[in-house]
Amino acid sequence: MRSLISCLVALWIAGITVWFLAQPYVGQACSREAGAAGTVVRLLSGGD
Amino acid sequence: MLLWLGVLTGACACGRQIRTWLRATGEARCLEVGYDAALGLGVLAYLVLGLGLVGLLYPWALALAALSLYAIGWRQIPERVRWLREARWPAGRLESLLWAALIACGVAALVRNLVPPGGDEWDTLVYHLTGPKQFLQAHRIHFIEHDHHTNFPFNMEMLYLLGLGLHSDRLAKLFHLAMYLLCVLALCGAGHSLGRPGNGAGVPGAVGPAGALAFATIPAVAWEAGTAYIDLGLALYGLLTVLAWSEWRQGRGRGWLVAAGLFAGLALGVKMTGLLVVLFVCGATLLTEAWRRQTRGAVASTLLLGATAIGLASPWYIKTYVYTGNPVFPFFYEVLGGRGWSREHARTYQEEQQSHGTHAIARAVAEGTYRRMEVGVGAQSETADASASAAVVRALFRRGDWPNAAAALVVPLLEVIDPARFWEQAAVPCIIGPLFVALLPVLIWLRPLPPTLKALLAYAGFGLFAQTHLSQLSRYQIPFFAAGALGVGYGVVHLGRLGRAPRAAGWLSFGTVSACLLALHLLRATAALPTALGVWTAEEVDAATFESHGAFEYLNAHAGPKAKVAVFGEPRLYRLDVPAEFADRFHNTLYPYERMRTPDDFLSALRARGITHILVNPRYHPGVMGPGPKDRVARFIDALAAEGRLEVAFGDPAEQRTTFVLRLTGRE
Repeated sequence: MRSLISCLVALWIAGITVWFLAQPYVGQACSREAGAAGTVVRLLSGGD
Repeated sequence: MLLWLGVLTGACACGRQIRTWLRATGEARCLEVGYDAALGLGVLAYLVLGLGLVGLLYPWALALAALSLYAIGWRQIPERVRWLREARWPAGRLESLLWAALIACGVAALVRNLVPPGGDEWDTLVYHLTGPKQFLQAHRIHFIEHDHHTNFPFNMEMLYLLGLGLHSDRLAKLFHLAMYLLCVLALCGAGHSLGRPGNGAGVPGAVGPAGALAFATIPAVAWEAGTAYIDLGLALYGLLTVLAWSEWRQGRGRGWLVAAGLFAGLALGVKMTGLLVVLFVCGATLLTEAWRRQTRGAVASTLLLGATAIGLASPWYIKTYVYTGNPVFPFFYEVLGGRGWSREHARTYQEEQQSHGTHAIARAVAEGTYRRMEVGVGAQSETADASASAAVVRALFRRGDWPNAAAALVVPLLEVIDPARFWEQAAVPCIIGPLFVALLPVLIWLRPLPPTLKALLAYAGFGLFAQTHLSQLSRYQIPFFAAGALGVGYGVVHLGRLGRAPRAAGWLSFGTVSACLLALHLLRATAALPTALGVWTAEEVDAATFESHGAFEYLNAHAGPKAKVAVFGEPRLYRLDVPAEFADRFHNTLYPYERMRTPDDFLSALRARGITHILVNPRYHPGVMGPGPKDRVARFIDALAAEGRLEVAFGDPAEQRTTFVLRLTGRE
């Protein structure tokens, strides 16, 4: 019983986390914030 | 920064002195700082309110109010200095890593506070800073008839007023950052206090910092830490109320019950939904004392708690009653009425509050147009969403919308799948992350839980349930995330009890998600860095990012001393120095649109209110003097412009891109 619970808990946590990371908005958010930060760095370094 | 640190130090000393008088002391140091500073800042907010009510909102009086914190707490200062000297970096590697991440969170938020508020900091520009600015200009707190928000309880805004009066909007914003940092410290300290004998002995030191990191990296929380909203203030006072109440429950003296009442009163003075924490602790007192068959004691303790909280918050509600005839204006209008409001306004307001979350999803599913919203993109794609996640959502809403009573069960899961439905715009701060859904249910197998943790989790559950009824915007849930975060920390640290696999899954999940969300927070701060360091001026940034910048500049420079502006589609008036009022029909009843039949009626209404200029943001009020849907106001303005009774003073209405200004010509 204990090992079944242990297995289910591990699967639940890993599953929810992978599910979150696989959502398109995670990539969109990273891309949006990295893009904004990148633009700033480029402008500061004298780029176009 | 120095002014801010000076005020916080005074607040700590003052708060400590009050707790000494209450005999409610003796805690982990981080938590002590949270209690003391929060209490001191509460005292300061009420001092500023007092100055505002007697018409003394001048910089010298505000400085005296801040200095009076030192006058109250000067005896405590040497002890606090000794504390600082004795502070040590945590010994364990894990704790060190968590603290380093927390410091990174704080620094990133600090950078964003060194930048004046931008166009996306909506409510900051609508009323959190605009209300205090107008009070400062008048040197007193007064009724602002065009903006109902200014009748809300304003504890946080009193601190912003102090910041504006003593320095700038950056100092004002720093007070919300203070709430964020104090939440983090309180969670760290609360984790430590879980390990006290009688409250769960043997709790490792990483619980608090892990919980604090789970809270601090939530993008909604991290974003709010960089602007002058109020939700983190409510989160702090709610958290401290439950922690102080838990101290009293564990038999540490009646002073803690009074302290809990004070914190609950301060929460109720930050926002009306602070009533949830008052109801929670009063209900919990009655139930737990009655369970111990101490009926008389239950009633006495509940009365003491409730009376302290409501008594402390009452000045705000009395003020609102005097101004509007309704102490909780504009809510409960059908029962309590209120000045400058109507049944239509009340209905529109309630519909807007109820338009988010499960209600929005249910509508989209019913119309067959449901797809997960994209985040941080210009326009939403219209292609079908055939993913398994969307299928799960469609299945959950197959039978229509969830009743509010049951929606709280699915809201946390839906916030992982489609968080933009729980925010006003599909912007990055809408993200909540999966840690609460992944780790809180696991606590069932980690019982017995420490009493303080049980109290916090009960408050988080009660708050989430009640808030789901009121409105499902995820930023309104921030106070309950703060309380639930300690459960996340406790869960991840104790998963080893269930075996190696859950332990590994827990830390992997916690580490990956925290790192990802911390990266988002740091990237956002990077974008603000040039302005914070003065490479770009705030003017330049505002001009490039805020569509009403040019119109405000024009009015501030050219409108003249007798100008008054009627504003359509642009409530973010913080940087407009000319007297102005919201003229859109859903804001107030100043303009009797239901009685207007002709453009002349509209013009007469404008003149009756002394209006000289009209400002229109076509993004939120399209169709005025250009293409787009035309409501009655747009048709009136078009007709008056065609007759030469209105003329363009700034901008190009035909473009319908940036905010423009019209001038009343005086022609009959």
